[in-house]
Amino acid sequence: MALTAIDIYKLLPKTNCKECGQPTCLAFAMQIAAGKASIELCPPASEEAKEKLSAAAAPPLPKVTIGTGEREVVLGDETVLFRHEKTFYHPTAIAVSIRDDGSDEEFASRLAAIRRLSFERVGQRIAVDLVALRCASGEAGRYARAAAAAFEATGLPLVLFAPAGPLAAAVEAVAPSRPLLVPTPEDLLPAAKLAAERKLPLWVRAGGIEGLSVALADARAAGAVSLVADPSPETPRDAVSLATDLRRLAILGRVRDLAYPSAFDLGGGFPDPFLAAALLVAKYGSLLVLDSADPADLLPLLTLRQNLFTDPQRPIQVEAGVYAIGTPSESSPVLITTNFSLTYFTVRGDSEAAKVPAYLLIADVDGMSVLTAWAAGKFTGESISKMLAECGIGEKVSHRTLILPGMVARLSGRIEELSGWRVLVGPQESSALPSYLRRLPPAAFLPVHG
Amino acid sequence: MSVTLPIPVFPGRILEVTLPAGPGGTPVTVGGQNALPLLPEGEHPNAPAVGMEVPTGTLELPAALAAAIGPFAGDPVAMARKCAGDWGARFLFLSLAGCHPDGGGLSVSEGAAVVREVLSATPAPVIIGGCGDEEVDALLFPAVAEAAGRPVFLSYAEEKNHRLVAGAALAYGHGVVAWSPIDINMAKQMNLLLADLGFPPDRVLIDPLTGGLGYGMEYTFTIVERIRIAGLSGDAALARPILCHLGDAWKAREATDASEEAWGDVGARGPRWEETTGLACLGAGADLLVCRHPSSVARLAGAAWR
Amino acid sequence: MHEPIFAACLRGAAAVLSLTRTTLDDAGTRRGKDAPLAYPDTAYELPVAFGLTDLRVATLADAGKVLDLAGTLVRDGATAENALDAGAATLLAADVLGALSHEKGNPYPPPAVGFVPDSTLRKLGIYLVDGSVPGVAVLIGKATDPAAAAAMVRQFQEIGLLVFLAGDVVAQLDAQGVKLGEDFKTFPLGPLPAVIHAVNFAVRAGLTFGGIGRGQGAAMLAYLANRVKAFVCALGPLDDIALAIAAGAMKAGLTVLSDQPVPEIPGLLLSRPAGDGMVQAGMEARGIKVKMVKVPIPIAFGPAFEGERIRKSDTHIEFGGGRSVAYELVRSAPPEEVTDREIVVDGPDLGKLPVGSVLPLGIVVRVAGARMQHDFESVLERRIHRIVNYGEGTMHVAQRDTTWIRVSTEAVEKGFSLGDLGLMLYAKLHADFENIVDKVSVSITTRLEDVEAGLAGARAAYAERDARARTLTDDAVSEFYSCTLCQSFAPNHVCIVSPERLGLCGAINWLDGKAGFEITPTGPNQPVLKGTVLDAVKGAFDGVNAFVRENSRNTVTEMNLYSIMEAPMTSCGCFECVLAIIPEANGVMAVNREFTGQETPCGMGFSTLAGSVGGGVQTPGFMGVGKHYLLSKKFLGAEGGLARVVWMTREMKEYLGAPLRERAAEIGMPDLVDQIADETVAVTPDALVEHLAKVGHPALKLPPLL
Repeated sequence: MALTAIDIYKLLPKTNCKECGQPTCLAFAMQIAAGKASIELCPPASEEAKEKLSAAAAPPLPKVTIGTGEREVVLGDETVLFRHEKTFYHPTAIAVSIRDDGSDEEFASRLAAIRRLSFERVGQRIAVDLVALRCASGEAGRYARAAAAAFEATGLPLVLFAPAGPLAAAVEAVAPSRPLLVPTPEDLLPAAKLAAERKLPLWVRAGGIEGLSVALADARAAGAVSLVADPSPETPRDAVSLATDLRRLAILGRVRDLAYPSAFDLGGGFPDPFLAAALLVAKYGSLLVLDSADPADLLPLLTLRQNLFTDPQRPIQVEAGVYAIGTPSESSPVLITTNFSLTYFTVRGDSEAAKVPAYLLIADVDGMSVLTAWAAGKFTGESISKMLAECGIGEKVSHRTLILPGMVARLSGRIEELSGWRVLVGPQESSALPSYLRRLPPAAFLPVHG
Repeated sequence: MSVTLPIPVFPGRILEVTLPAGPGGTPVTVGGQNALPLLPEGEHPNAPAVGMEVPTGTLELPAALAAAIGPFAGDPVAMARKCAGDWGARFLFLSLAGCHPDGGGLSVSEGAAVVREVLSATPAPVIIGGCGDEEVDALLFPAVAEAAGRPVFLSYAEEKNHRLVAGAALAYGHGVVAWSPIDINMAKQMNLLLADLGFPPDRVLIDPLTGGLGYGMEYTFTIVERIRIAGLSGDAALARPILCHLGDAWKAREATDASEEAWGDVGARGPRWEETTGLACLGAGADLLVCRHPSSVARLAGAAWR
Repeated sequence: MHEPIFAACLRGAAAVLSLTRTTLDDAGTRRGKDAPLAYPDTAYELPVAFGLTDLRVATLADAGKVLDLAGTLVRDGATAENALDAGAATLLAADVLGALSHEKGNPYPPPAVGFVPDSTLRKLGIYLVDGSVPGVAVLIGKATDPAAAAAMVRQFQEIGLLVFLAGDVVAQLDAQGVKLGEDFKTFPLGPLPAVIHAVNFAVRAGLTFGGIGRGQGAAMLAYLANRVKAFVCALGPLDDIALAIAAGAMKAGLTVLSDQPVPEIPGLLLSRPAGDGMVQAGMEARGIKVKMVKVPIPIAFGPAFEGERIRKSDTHIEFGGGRSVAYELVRSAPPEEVTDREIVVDGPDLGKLPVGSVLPLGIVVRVAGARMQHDFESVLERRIHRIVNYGEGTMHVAQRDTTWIRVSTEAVEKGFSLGDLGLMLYAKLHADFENIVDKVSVSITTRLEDVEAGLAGARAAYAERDARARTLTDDAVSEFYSCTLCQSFAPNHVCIVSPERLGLCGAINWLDGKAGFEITPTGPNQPVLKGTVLDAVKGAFDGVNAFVRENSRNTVTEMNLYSIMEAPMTSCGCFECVLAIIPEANGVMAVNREFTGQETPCGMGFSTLAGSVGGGVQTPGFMGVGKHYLLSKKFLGAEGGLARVVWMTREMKEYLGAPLRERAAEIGMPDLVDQIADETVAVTPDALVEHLAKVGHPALKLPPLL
């Protein structure tokens, strides 16, 4: 049972010293309870408090990091099996592979292709997180140079797939970038020692959960701490099942010895890697390695990841402002709705379906839907009038007619009074927008004079 | 050392629902499971089923779809045969969007005629979708319910029109798809309302509204998971098969915009977008998927294991 | 006094049975015992036998078995039970007779149609399920006044009822020029015995639409009684056979109305003169309500006009708002005292008055309904505001005796009258409160003396209502109401709304929850039985715990209604304000949603607190609540009540205003409100504690919170 903020507060020094960055001990306790702060931030905390709180706050699935700085990739550190129970914190990391045995040109162009796997969606950058370097040459020197070059060219943390020799050489070259070491199964022990020595994360693979429990124990015995677990499935179906087993062992079973982020190599002839990848993004894959660098594969996967790793209890917001639907003119209709992403997507989609160029005003209401925002006093005659005056729509259109969501028809009079705009009440459901927009008389959007 | 896996055991079981086929066809049965999807635990007597949409009315197909189904899409009968034949759809979703005043303006009797033709052209199980215009659908559902010479499912019944759609289905022995807007309590309420009318529960599918990838898919993912977990946990009104219509995937710019070269070939990207939406639905617990691209049928069938 | 009727039913049943037996025997002789017997175009053999017995009928011999069974239902002794069973026997026999008569199709001359085929049943049945055909009227016998009978049928048609006719009325109505046939949903079946086709239609409706299988007799009778909203109007003298058929109808729970002086059986047999009274009584007895699809008024009407403002210069006439005396009142009344759709306007109406007029106004809406309760009056009355605003050219502000209504010049030019205003209220109250309202009448007066007289009565009603609200306490009621509307985003959140703790969104009080349940029994507001009181101070009830456990899907196992520290109520995200403890001050602070600052003595502003508290989880020490909960006698009972509040935003203090002071005085702390700090006094725990010590805030002397 997780500790409540009050339980935590009782253990804190209650000095309100602010050293943790929070104004009060209570606020700090709330942060710890939410898993957003650690007791380490509280210098005056007693040893007893530190012990109790770090144990209580330790996530059932420990955190493993690869890389450093801005490009650091965090795996694991999850607390629930279903996103609606709280949220998923750390998105499935995606690595795209490259081999060290091609020509320099091939190598460079592949790296460039990987670098391009970065896209802008709803105000966020979604991108491939890591480069997986496969040792195909078998030559330590070549592999180490390739590792350095790959890191140099992309800045992305590396996943180093290699036998012990080349692995050691590559670590010499790029250790400060905190790569993930992926030895061949027979080289697990030397690689584990290397990981222990250099404090690097290690990928442990073995057949199935039973095999992993042995291999992970071996790696720990060799001193490696930061581990990811690869149960080596042979099919997508096995992969989903094994990823689920691992996550359940950590979260339901609290089996510490098997509580590691999962990792899957979906390249090298793995059957139907795309299908496996999509299912593993949805179902408990922590790190996936793909051979495909085709944006037509990566964009959907990254988008799926972006979708599922949002906090379900926090509405996703889109940026407020004026959006053009098609190529609107000065006599195009002007619609308004709120900046809750789902509301925006729906209204935008339906407006586009109408094939009537228009302006869509997105009001900042902290990501609430139209009715909720109205009920919360954030979507009001006042706020809408203010937006009409300040967002610049007045320069874009020559008319002064606003289409208001039918759900908040009651605001129409107030908006007309405050803004001087005429209000047309649109449909209550966005789905009726196409018909509505097509039937609007053009006379509604004639310029205003004077 | 032997590891004991913590496998959740659920007290509930999803109701089995059959989409009947015509003579010589193969009915589709879904549901019956007492465990979460995709996993080798509990019982999964039936695999999820992948079907295809047969459109009507004016079509503006995105490039990837035009290339794949363009030659057939304008002819519901040819399309239905192709879907159920070469393309391997286990059931058809005959969309009567063509009866919408803005979607082609087929009359109600023309819509009913399309239903008759499609049903006699293929024995595959069929779900018939209304046009979305409230007034037209109020006439359309009774008409197609009568026109359908064999049992089909009518899609969809929502809170507003459920009596009419259920009445039409009862009159001629059809099933209904009960729709709710990404809301677990509304999904439950729909089933209670239908039960209240005496509608047989084994002729009801839940449609939770499926958002396309990148455009609200996460809401659907979570609502499907919640409905499924609630059903397995013993909430009988939610222990029903779930249908996800992937059509919204094709509303995404990423699926259709050929001008963005950095996004990869649109011919591959479009189907991938639909496939990814469908895979997420399967992962969440969907029992029936409706897709538009033939390649999605085969691709999604690859993950529709028992 | 019913005995002679019961005896007549028994005689009638025996006569029908004997006639059927003779006819069947004749047919058997003529065609052989194994000759097939069936109605044309039905999947249900002889429907009455199919629905009520487990006998399969395919041949004449099979029909003999039905008659054998029917014979056992006719017993000696003029009792109600025997008469009803004899009625059932009559229906079984009459269906056999009907099928025999259809050997070569419809045996009757036009316009009579005889047996109504399944195809028609399916088509029309949809609209019975849908509710757009609100019920079924069966008119039988011979009218004394054919014109009156014709008027009745036209009334049925206008209402949209499905109509069956049998007996001499068929020819009488045909002669009267009444439109007959499927297009008018009016089926002239044939002579009196053909009324069986109305019965077998209803039985087939149960088989087709009610999910009832063969031979599920009890389920079928229940379906006919509860789902088929049918009544029988019997015109003219009732002979034995007519009475036996009527008994069959009553056995199925239908209401029979006769224009003869029969002794009444409440709900089943009524005596009414032919005409509107008979129609109304039949509809009322069967709970048939008429839906007004479009409100026939000269202005547009709908939610799109809700926000419309009517400026002074556009106003033709206004009522109330301080310019004249005006009030509005909704009262519930017994059904016999309310005439549905009665709209009375007394005094000068809009069209005759000059622009700029100001008139007094009294609106009294009377409603009746089997599930209507006095407690719902205020819920309906508050809806008047919205309904009036729905009109294009009508504007409504405030409520009760502060109401203010404007009607635009444009609306008056279109011919809008006060009668139309009444019609708006009538139609929309019916539509919005379908489940609780059966009858609505509206009376509107603009005569000063009437308004003043009415106002006195209205004020008494308001006062009575307020007094009642004060007696509505958590201790006095046996059930609370849930609200699970927010589970769409806070999966396991269950709001428990009690008389003394409104929903945390501030939008739903106990009465709303109660009305919400009556209006939508499968909706988000469900009754929550309190059950055993586990702890009256904390507000622990085992019924509440059980409900919350089930509806949070086992994630919240305990919930105390009046505690913030121990198993407090979960918070969704819609709360009007957040309460948070301030351990240093041994008290609680309250910050409202509108407060945008981040500086409060607990170190967190509204948005930070809301982020940590919401989502449907219990967060001891923190809780989202409705603002008015602070005024409740049950406010934080477990922690010492209002005296625990050490800080609240200035805005909240102003919003709660005088009632907050009254509540403070009530607990013997008249200075409390001034002792409570706000953001101008302290935004850190230290400053707060210093302030509290200085003013002597009572929280410092309460038992420690932690």
